[in-house]
Parts: sequence; structure tokens; C-alpha cells
Amino acid sequence: MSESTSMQSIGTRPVTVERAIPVSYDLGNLSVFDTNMIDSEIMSSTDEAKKEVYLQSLARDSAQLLVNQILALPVVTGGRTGGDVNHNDGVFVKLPDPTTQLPREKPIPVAKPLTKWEKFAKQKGITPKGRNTGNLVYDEAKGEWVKKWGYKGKNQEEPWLVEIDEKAANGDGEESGNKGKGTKKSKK
Amino acid sequence: MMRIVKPKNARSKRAMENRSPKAIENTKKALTVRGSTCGVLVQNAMTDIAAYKQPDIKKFQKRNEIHPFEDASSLEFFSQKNDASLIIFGSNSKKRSNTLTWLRTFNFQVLDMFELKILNYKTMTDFKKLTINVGMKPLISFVGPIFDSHPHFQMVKSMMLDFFRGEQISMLDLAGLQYIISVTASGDGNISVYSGDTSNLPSINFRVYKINTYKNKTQNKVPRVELEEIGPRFDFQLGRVREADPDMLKQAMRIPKELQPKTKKNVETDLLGDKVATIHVGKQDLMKLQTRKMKGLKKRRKDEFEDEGDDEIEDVIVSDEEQPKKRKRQIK
Repeated sequence: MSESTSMQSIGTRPVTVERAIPVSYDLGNLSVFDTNMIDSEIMSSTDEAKKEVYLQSLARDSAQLLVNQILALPVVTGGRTGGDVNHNDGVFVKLPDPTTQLPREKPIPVAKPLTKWEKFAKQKGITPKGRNTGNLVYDEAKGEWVKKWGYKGKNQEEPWLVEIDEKAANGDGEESGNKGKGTKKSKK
Repeated sequence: MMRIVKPKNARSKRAMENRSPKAIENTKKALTVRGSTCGVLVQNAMTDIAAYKQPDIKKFQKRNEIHPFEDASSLEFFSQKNDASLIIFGSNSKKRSNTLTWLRTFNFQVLDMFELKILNYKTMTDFKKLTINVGMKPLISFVGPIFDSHPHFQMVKSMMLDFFRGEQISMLDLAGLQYIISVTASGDGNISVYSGDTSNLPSINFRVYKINTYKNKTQNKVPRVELEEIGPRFDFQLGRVREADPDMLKQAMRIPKELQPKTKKNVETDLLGDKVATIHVGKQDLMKLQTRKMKGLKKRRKDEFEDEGDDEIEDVIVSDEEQPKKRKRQIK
């Protein structure tokens, strides 16, 4: 590029590329394959600078074509994981799966043979029961999660309504204190 | 050959599982290995290439007496130890000066390899210092009909694509389009494979450019792309080639069942590009057909008696179903 090219003139340059044979793309791999004929005269000339300019122009055209294709892809807003709050910056495009088939590095995994128990369980229809769901349980009345057991656990709470046994009471009613059924014994 | 390591804790078990064969594979890792006669030029060349493969590349420092085309077993051992399926081996001899041998392994055995002799080399330091973030996915371009027609060049294309493509991602940040690796080879592709003389083959020009985008005046959607050369500049000459064993290649190209595209039964796309489905309606007992209280079945002026048509298989697109016109019958 000569010194005289200004930002102004770059802005007026075309963004489309003409190619005799349409190029093929592999957007999943961000690749472009151009099978058009190359000017062998320039390539075999001794003028290195001329050759480099030509190579750069070919590369620039390929890059322009590829960028045009990539920008035509559907744009996803909301970050890399599509909605992840932490990665909200940047414009993302959804890349398709790669089309060029490249060889794998390791063979396809073989399914492990079922163990004796697994075979038996499958045959009997035994499924693993739900694991321990932890200590918390949702209390509808309070509208919050409380412990099932332990300090201030749900099983520790005293009943809010206790029947007074007529015989045991002194006749004063509630004054006799919290000595009915269902109350917790205080620690010594 | 390798002893089977039994994991002693959860962390090593996870590491082992990461290395084991999987349906969706990890990004291929690479190694650069120095031959016994590897000189500074080849070492620098490998370092420059490795810059575009970071962080999935390991560079070996020591020299190794290896001749890949004769016996690649030590390279296979390195591949297994380091879980690296791509290797670049640098060497220099009187007959084959400044040569890089690129090889790929499948299941830690050599799949295919080829030699690229360095004819011209300009290091990254010779160019203007333009930093590229490590780990960015490059744009890759292969220019020249020979990459489609000549099997050896197809192998070069495949290997280079495998090497430089990087991590598989589904969401691309547009700011991440930073550089392009452009591989060009002249020649009309009508060169016979069996000509034997490798000096007849066109040279492969490897260039790396940084991408700069400029806003286009006429339309806003697509920017004008301009390039600046940054990377190493190589002119390679293709040397010896070892093609993949067809059985091994077939195994390597297999797609696991989980990743094969699921074809929905009874749904097809017809010639016009419309999605067409077939609904299989069960057989209808015409004797038990309810004809009462069906206005459409009322006897018209002209006693028309149309054929019902095949009730069993209907084309959804041709959806205007004509009610079968029947004579009113007494249903007991």
C-alpha cells in the first residue's frame, strides 16, 4: 500500500469480489477454498515484490469473501453462551458445523460391556433411587427453606396447638405451663 | 507398549478420561521435534509456526536421531506420551536441506505425513511487530486449483487445516477475526502424481496477514478488508509423501452414531424445496361412517356421486380435502 492511500480512499474501495469459479466455504472452520486459476507468469517471475503484491491481493480477496459470508450468519445477542450475563460484550455470530471432514485422532469409543449387576438391574427394571436431597425442605407456610432436622430443624418445632388434659391441669388452664404433649424437654 | 496407569484419585481419573477416546474429540495438540541435524533456521521456523498453534503445542528442546520416513516409532511414542496427534519434525541434511516433516497420528500410529522443504523464509521478527492474541481462531484460505485436484496437495490442505483451525466453537466473536493464513500454490492441477520428479511440483506459498476492516462508504453492512503481512513467510517445496493406509483412514474418518445427522422418517424435501410429510391415516370402516348431521353430505340437486379417492395415504400440501359426496343412506 502506498503512503498516499488515506482512510477516505479505502472507504470507497469495493467490498464485493468477482471470481470466475465460485469459491467454497467451510464456515465452521473459518476457511475458504478458491480453485480459480492463478497467474503462473507472476508466480514464476523473478520480481519478488510483484509476486508478494499478487499473493496479498489473492489473500485479501479470500478474506473479503470470507468476512462477507461470516457477516451474513445469524447474529446472536447476549454474549457467548447466549444469555450469559457475564459475557455480554461483543457481537457474536452463530457458526455452522464444519463441513470439511478431517480425520479423528482417536478411534470411536466402544461402549463398555455392562457389568453383572447392571445387566441384572436392567432386566429387573431396577432404577437407582433418588439420592439424599439434603437437609432443606420448603416450608409452604413460612415461604422459605427450613432444615428437616438439626438445630432449629422442622422436626424440632413445637406444636402450635396443644390440648390441655383436664385431669393433669390444676384447673387454671394455660397457666400451668408448657408441660403438655409434644413439647420439648429442656436440656439440663 | 505403554503401561496402563490406574488412576489413584479423582483428579487423575478425570485427566485420564479427558485423554480417552471420545465421541466429540478435544482440539488436536501438536509437538515440534528437532532432528539431530536441525539448524537454527528450522528451529526458528518451527517456533514461528508454533506461535499460531498456541496453547495447543509443545516444543521439544532436545535433538533426536529420527528418520520419520524410515522409522517413525519414536515419534509415535512422543505422540502417545504427550497426547499429541500432530507432529512437526525439523531436520536438515545435504540431500534434504531445511525440511519440516508434518505428520498426523491416528490412535498414536502414523496416519499420513509429508515433507516440506523451506525454500524461502522470513521470520516474524522481520515484519512489523503486530501482536495477535494467543489462541485466536485464524481465517484460513487455500488458493489454487491444485489443492482440489492433486492428492498430495489435498493432503497438505487437510493437514494444515487440521493444524491451524484451533478450537471448535459455535459462537464467534466478530472481534476475534484477527488474522488470515493464506496458502497458495500455482499450477493448473493437471500434474500427474506419478511423474515422480517432485521438483516439478509447484511451490506452496504460506503467508500470514493481519486483518484490518474499514467502514465502507456506500453500504454499512459489510466492511472493506485490508491486510498487513505479519507472520512468517514461507515458500515450501513438497518432498516425500506417505499417504494414509486406506483401512486406517477409513477408521479415522468414521463419524460416531451420536453425531450422525438424524433423518426424520416420512419427512422429505421435494424438488421445489418445500418440506413434505406423509401422514399414514388408518383404514376407515366405510360401513360405520357417520353421514348424519354432516351438512356437506346432503344430497344436492344433481345426483353427483364422486369417487372418494384413496383415503389411506394423503399428501399434506394438497390439503383441500373434498368431502365425499354420497347419497343419503338410511343407517340403522
